[in-house]
Amino acid sequence: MRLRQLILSLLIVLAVLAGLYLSSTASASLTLKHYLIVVAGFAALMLLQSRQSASEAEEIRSESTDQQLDSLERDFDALLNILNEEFSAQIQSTQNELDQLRAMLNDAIQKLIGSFTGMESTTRHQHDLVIQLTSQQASGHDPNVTNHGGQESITFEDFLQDTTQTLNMFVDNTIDSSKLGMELVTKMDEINLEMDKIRKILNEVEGIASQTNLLALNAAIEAARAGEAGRGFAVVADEVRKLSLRSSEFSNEIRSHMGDVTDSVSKAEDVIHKISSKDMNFALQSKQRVGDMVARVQDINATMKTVVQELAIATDKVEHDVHTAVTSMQFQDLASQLITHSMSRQQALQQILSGIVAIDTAHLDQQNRAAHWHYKLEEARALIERTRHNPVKQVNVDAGDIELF
Amino acid sequence: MQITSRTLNNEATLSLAGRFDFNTHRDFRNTYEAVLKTGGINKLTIDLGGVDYLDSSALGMLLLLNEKAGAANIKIVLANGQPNVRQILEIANFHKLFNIS
Repeated sequence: MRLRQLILSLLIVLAVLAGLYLSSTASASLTLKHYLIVVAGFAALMLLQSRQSASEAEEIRSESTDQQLDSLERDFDALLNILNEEFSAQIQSTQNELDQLRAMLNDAIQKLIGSFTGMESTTRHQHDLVIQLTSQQASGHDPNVTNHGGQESITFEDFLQDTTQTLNMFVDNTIDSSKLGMELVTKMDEINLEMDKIRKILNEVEGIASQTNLLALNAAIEAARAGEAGRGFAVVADEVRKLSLRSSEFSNEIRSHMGDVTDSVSKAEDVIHKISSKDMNFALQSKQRVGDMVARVQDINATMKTVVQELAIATDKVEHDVHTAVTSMQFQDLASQLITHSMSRQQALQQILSGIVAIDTAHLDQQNRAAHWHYKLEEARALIERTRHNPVKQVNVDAGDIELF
Repeated sequence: MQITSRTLNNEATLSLAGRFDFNTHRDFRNTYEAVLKTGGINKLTIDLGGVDYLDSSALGMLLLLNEKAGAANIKIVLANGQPNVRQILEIANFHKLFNIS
């Protein structure tokens, strides 16, 4: 169709140009000039005719496009409805999920904070226990400190002091008993000296008895020589001899008893020997051991002090870390707010979509399609503008702006 | 145990050598009593340089000597003890009763 119009237009132009050319040169004949004008006129006529048929075709085609547009519009509205329903369902699901997320976050973080706080309190308790334990150990420096039982606590220092005192007492007792033993031995030596004196006296007594015996014997001989007249004296002499013999017997008896006493004294001295002769190295060794123990206890106390100090530092660090952790956990509030905002935004989206679907164009003239679409666009724009002023606070998600409290 | 004594002016010295124990008691006592009887003495030095061992009976003897010497206003000095002997004198707290040199 367009090609034919183009050819016809071309012919008209060619005919007019040829006519003008011939008239200007004036060498051509009139017949040719007229002929060319006729051709041009015919061509123009053809052109007009063809244009008319083209506009008729346009009209037919316009009717078919209207139908197609109506169909498209219905399809588009249907699509919008489907979209609206689908979006509603998806947004509803998302909101449920966000609710769950918020609840989960809340629950988990409350538990975490509880756990951290519990951890901190346990560490603090542990620290207190260690301090209690070590203060009991070190309470030797403070006699007022008592343990929970109300009894006086026993410390290494007390124990060592007691041990040293006991050892000193034992040493003193050992030396005192040795001294008493030596005094006894001295007394026994004195007894032995006295016994020696008694023995000397006994020797004298025995000498006297022996001499008396001899005298009695001589007296008996003299009495026998005197005959009848000496009979009485002989009896006396015999009695004196008997007395001297008895005296000798007594002396022997006393000597025998003194021998027993000397034996007993000697045995007693042996016993005293055993009692008094104690090796003093036991005391030296004990003292050495106590000294070693004191050094060890001092070492242990020093180590304990260091450990307690390190433990205190560790506990403070745990406390600090837990505090930081608990503070950091408070991002949950912000996260919760963000989720709420996110949900509001979805609701806004939902409103926009539902609003666009619900725009009522029924009262408009269906033929005025341009006005119809224009109205729909304007309504949608107004709706978007309205939802833009929805009271959802703008929150900057930038981590740098999150304030922890 | 060997004991030798010498007296110079008003100071007497007993030098001991060997084990100073119970078996020594008679010799030791006899020697110091003889010295104390001498009179005119105000200081008695017990030279322990030769003593390689002493037991509790020796300590008892020294205490008895100290009592007797104290009664006679004579000062007792324990001298020249070997390290083990000095340790025992120390643990017996003898430095509170004697002059130890």
